[in-house]
Amino acid sequence: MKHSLFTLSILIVLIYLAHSLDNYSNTQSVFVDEEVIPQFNPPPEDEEKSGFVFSGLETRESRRSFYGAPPVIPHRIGKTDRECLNCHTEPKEFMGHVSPPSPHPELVNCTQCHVRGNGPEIFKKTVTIKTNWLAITEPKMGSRNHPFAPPTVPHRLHMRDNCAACHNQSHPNTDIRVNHSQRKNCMQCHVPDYDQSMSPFSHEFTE
Amino acid sequence: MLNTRREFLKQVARASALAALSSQMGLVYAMDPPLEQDGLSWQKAPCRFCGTGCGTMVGTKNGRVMAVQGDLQNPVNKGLLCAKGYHAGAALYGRDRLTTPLMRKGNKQVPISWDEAIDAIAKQIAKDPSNFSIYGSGQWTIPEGYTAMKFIKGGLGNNHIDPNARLCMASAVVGFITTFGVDEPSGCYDDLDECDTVITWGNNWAEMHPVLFSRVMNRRNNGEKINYIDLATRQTRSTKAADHYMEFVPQTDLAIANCICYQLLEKGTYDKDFVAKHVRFKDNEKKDLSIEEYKAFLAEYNIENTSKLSGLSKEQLKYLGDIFGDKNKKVLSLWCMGMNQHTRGTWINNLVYNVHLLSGKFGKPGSTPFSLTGQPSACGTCREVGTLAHALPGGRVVKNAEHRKQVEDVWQCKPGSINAKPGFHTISMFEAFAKGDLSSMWVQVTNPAQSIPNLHKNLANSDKRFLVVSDVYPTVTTRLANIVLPSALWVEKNGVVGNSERRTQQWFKMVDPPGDARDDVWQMLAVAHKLYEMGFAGMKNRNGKFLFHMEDENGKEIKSWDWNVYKTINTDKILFDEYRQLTLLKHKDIAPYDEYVKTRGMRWPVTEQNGRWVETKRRFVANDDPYVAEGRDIDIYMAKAGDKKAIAWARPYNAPPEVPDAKFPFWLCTGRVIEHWHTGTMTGRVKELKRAMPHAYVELHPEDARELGITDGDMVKIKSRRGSIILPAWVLGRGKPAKGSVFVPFFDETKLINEVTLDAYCPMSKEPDYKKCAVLVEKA
Ligand code: SF4
Repeated sequence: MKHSLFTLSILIVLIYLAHSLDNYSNTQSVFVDEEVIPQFNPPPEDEEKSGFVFSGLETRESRRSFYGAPPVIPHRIGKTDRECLNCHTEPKEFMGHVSPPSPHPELVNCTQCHVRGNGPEIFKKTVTIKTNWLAITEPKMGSRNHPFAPPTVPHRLHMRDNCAACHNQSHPNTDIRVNHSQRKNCMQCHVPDYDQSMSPFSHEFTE
Repeated sequence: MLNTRREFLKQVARASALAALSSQMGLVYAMDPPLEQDGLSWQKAPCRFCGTGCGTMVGTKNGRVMAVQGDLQNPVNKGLLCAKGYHAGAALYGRDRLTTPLMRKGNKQVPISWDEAIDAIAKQIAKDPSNFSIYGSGQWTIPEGYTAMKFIKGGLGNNHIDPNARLCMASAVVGFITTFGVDEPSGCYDDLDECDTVITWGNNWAEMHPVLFSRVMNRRNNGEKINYIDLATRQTRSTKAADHYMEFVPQTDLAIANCICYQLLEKGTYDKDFVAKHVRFKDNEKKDLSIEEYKAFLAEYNIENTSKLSGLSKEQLKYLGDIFGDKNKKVLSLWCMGMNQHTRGTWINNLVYNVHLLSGKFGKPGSTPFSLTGQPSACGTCREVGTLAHALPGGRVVKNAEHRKQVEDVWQCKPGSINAKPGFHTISMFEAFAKGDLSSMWVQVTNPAQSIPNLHKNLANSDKRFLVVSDVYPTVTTRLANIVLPSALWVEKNGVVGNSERRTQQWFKMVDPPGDARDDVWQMLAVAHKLYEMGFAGMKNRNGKFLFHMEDENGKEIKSWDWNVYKTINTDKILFDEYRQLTLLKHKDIAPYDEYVKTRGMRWPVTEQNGRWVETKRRFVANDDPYVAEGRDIDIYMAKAGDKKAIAWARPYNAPPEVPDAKFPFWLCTGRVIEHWHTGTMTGRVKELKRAMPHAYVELHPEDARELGITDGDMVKIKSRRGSIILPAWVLGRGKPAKGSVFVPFFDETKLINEVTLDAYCPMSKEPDYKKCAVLVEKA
């Protein structure tokens, strides 16, 4: 009984949230000019003593339309934009920033999925978009069977099955680093606990 | 420690909340229960955007789309999407979605009720039914296009219906029909996995069909050797992957194709056996030619002449001749708008077929010509349903009395309802609308006030006529309309579409459209029924019932025109299964609707074999296509002459109607960019895509830029005989046009390049040329 009341109240909150987001006017113009946006977007957050710029899950989230979307490119890509893998094969330092390696370096047509976070330099101004898009967000961690169990893998492995590419000790995103990268056989302990072919995610979006 | 434990408890709580939710909701979509997993329901749907037709998995929750992923089970894309596909969900949620019908009163468009809107449209049509027209789209779903066809051709007895696919695929269609006797390709995407040589004819597939591009390039990264030849007038992202970049003078693709054929015959490297069995020759006057006469025709396209005309070196031309002359090479030709949007679009399609027919590189795995389609259902809807001014479903034409009768029988409309006179094709439709020869027009799923060439001329007076526009966002076209109807978009409705490789794919509605937005099919049904109520004869079928009479399993009439009824039923299934009966004539057989629910699409002809529905990989090819006669390897079974042979046409080079001169010294080419779909009305509402490519630009060759004193970001004026626009320059940006030419994308509604473009069109396909006209370029 208690349980179902709890369930119901969660449902009501969720439905209320969804509805409140649906109340919008349809008369606003979409094309609103905004100032120049920074080249690195969003600006670096956590700076470690080394002077390099590191970031966490929030930054990670800000670069994706939703959890599972290809991240936008937060920097200039030069005019030929095909040299991505020069830096994105292992963590490399460049002007105070560290490049996250690609988990799928075999796919070289990078700009098929990853677009610039802020358009070509020729556009002095950029635009903001008025949208009601509500994204599912980053998982904090996979689930654990019991407090000491290794967490499950909270994302689809398609194009993301090279664990060490992201979960290494020098990855610029400090939140996804592991403290035992000497153990190479990740899947020995960490298993994906869902149907990989159908559902890309194993976790619930956060409220 | 505590944190993770809390996290764990929270997840348990969420899981039970969701279990409760899904059990309460019950089976909403009885046929394909969505996979409930961790809070999101996942269901398949083909991508909303391009003609590649990638499969997506759409994650929904609480009536909203919240995530999109590539569908690993879909053989088109095997889990990969492009930036547009991943962000397709966000395209539904721009804040300025149209959510209520609007009517122009004075200078303003004010909200009205659906009843008022339907009433006003029906009254206007009843006043002047023969001068009413429909301008539709290759983004219409199959049931949408089918409804519009039946509405105007069956109900109103006029043929003034044409889709924007006229601007996109018409040359491909006429090319197929003239060469093979029937539309649509023999090849399929499997050929991308088997070719060893790829030639793109004026095609930037890295941006326009990116998933197909990657499908080939990933093979290369796996160590396979793929030779990629980029024949183009502009260096693009595709060029960066090319082994050979061959830059030709615009329009001389006609001569280059002829020159390859010349070499095949001259050197005797053509496939003699294939030609003897499967090819006949004809001249431009449809007179039969012997192979010697054809060879004589080709004489002027020798390497010397063609090199001078086309700008390709003699070595490059020889290289092309040798590639096609090499029996062991598996050559895949790909093209899209570069060849179709061409004042000789039909001819260049014919000529590329000539190259493949003479070399015998046809219908073999990885070795075939393959025409790529631009829009998600240009094939399924415009070409197969036939939403064109001269066509009827299943490859039929209005001129043919027997065809008309077959369609009237299926539609159950009164004999003689369908008019034998073809209606206006796109450009003539807009000319007639501007002049007042057409009194009213209903535009669905497209944005002609941005995409029609030579806008100033062709859109003149549009705001003075009776214009109805169904769309999802305000566009430059809705601004001209008397009545704006808010539509449902993508997974807000049921749909069926057909992609480039003859694959028909189905999806179910997953979320409700916002506000009072409603399906395009419903909009047509409601107006049709209003006309029926008013006693309009055409909307009554031969049994005195409503033209779109639908029954449930108990034989009870379904009130499909009533939105409250419509939204509870699946009209797609009813319309699709009715349309199905019309697909058999030209062997474009499709399976029953329910079969598509179970699969990730099937390529037609789909035939029932031992109780199973079986698709066709390669058409006209033995062991693949069930319609190939016993004992034949290739069977061109729809050849007009009945001889099962494809026709190699002797098509000459023909100069373009406008070439650069002293006053307008530059070529202008227009096109798309990877971030945006067509006129940007949907992708422009997605933050990631809009920021990545916020405005249109003009791309210049660096030497031209230097001579004109233009650098990156300078404002530049592009002027033609028809109009001018000002936009920023991008030198050595994403692409590099040939010296003496510029490129401008057309997605930006604030910078309408179609004010500048030319509306000259291919006389056979009536498809205009957006790729070539003469402009003046100067610093603004
Ligand atoms: S390639 Fe085309 S169909 Fe595939 S995801 Fe991109 S836009 Fe959609």
